[in-house]
Amino acid sequence: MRETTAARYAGTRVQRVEDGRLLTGHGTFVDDVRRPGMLHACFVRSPFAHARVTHVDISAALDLPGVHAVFLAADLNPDIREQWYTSMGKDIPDTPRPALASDEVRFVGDPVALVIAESRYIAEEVFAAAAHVADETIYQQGYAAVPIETRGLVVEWSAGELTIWAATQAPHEVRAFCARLLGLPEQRVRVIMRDTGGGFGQKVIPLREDMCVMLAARKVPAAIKWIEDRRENLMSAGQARHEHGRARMAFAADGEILAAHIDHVQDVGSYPSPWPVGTSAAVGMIFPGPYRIPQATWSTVSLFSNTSGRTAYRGPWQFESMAREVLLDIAARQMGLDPVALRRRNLLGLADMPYVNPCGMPYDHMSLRETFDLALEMLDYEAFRREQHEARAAGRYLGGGTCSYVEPTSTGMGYYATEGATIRIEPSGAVNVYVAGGSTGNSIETTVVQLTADALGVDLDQVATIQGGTAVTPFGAGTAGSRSGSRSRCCATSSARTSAR
Amino acid sequence: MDEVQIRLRVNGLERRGRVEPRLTLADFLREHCHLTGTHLGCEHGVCGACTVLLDGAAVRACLVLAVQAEGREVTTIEGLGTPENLSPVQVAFQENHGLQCGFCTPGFVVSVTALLRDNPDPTDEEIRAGLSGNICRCTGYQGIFKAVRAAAGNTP
Repeated sequence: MRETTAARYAGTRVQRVEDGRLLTGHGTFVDDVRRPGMLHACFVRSPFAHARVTHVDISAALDLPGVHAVFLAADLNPDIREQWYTSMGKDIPDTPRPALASDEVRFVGDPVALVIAESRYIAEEVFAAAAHVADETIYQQGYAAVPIETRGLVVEWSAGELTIWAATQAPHEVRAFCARLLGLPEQRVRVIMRDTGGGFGQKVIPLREDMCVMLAARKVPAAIKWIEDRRENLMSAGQARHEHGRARMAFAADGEILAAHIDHVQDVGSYPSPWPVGTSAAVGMIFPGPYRIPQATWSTVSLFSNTSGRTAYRGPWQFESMAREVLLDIAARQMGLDPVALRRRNLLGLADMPYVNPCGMPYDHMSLRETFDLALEMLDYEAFRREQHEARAAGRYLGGGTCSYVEPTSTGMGYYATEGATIRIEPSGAVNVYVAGGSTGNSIETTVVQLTADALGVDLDQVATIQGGTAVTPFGAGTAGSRSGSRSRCCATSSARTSAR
Repeated sequence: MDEVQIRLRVNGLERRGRVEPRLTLADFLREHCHLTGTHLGCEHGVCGACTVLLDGAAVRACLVLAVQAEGREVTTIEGLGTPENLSPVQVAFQENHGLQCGFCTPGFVVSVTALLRDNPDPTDEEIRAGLSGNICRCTGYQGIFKAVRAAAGNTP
């Protein structure tokens, strides 16, 4: 076996392999997919936050020329075989999550009916619709993911096989989820994605509308396309970060942190996905963050509300950083310490590794204090403080702040520990590397090409990558929790070593 | 709904179609002409992803009806460059990290192309104003701003 080749491409600036098509309008996003005779799906949604559904009259809708079908809960929901997400498994205590709302709607935007029509225009016409303790309760407003491309999928049932073109971060999860939902063998569901216009967590798992389109696909004679509009996306595609917490820290007189505690409360809306607890435990586990804190405890509560369900959003446990760092600023002010000095006093450094935080999270290979010092040096913190002082004397207010955090990625458990790469060296010497994909703009195509070129010692332009098709790529959990780059690195590199051998 | 016959030029080619008066220009380009590079992010004139040139002026194709383009000249992202032969604006976006997922990108490229044609040497403030009608969710605007600055240097 040859030794690992020197990295020529990883860590250097290379032109992205995705850019040619994306810059010239030749990408393939889900709404760019057309199928013969394709029909369009559109949801009728609740205008009420909480109401009983006593009767739905679909006759007027069916009378419109071009309307093919109108499905209600009774048409779709009984077909559901199993409904759970791979990341959580089927045995967790989950919220009931009907495809369409049946007798009760629980938030503005709750889908009640699915209209199938020849074009979106017709479909939408249907509903014209210690020494010192810092103690502070910290509130955070709700967020929405808002990718510029809304959600959407095309589902085609043909000759006993289901093909799905999806806007997704995880094509293999779409396949697994759909196979369970419809009770189909996994080999008879194929998911294809090429370009996804941003995800931010919203496209990491199929949600209720996706379920409806999957369920309806076997009941109509052609492919169905559903492309969400922006209003629907803002109403019903999930929310995140509406949470608060009472955060407390105890300090010695010199600013050494002695203990930390957080009581965390989060709004999970009406249909939290993948489950109501979500990542709230991570808020507690990571609350000590990058600091040396001997003792810590935490609690968390998930509350249902008449709003759209809570979904993943860019580090869904992020409240821990916000709460901790705001609390440290408050503590520094109360103790009359410089907020940067207070943090430097407590930051873990390379010499402290390995380390286990008081909630049980193991840390290793982390240069937290060193990174913080480097950032301050780049900023020239002392010069900034002088500038700030002079500005204030002149009546101008300049602010400066820091936020440091530690978070896990590439979780080594279950579904999220899974990723593979297949490398094919073609007769011409051209190299193809196959990975699960799920790129939503995170350049994973370019990354995998760089890594493979380095591992095989070949030129960048000899390597191409095929991603996003469940029929041809190895199983993998896709883009979530900052994992795709690091996970793909392991796979591409180890596959390349095997190939080189 | 009664359909109307329209005739227009798209990227230099004549296109004819029978369309309902309510059909947007964006959907005409995507559904009738199969030019799917014009993207729809909000369908109410906020995000700028669907920007095209109508007789040279940058417009939002979601706010223009196809019938309003009768007899006019439309240029879409597909008319501005190819992967093998990128336009100076497209090259600048690639070289300055001006895109990630690429969904908003066609709208930015079209807007910037019009901006630099009308004002080849913009100030920083003029670049920011020129970009203010387009929303990007991944990249952040610093890379896009740098791309415009670089393209302004390259525009003949």
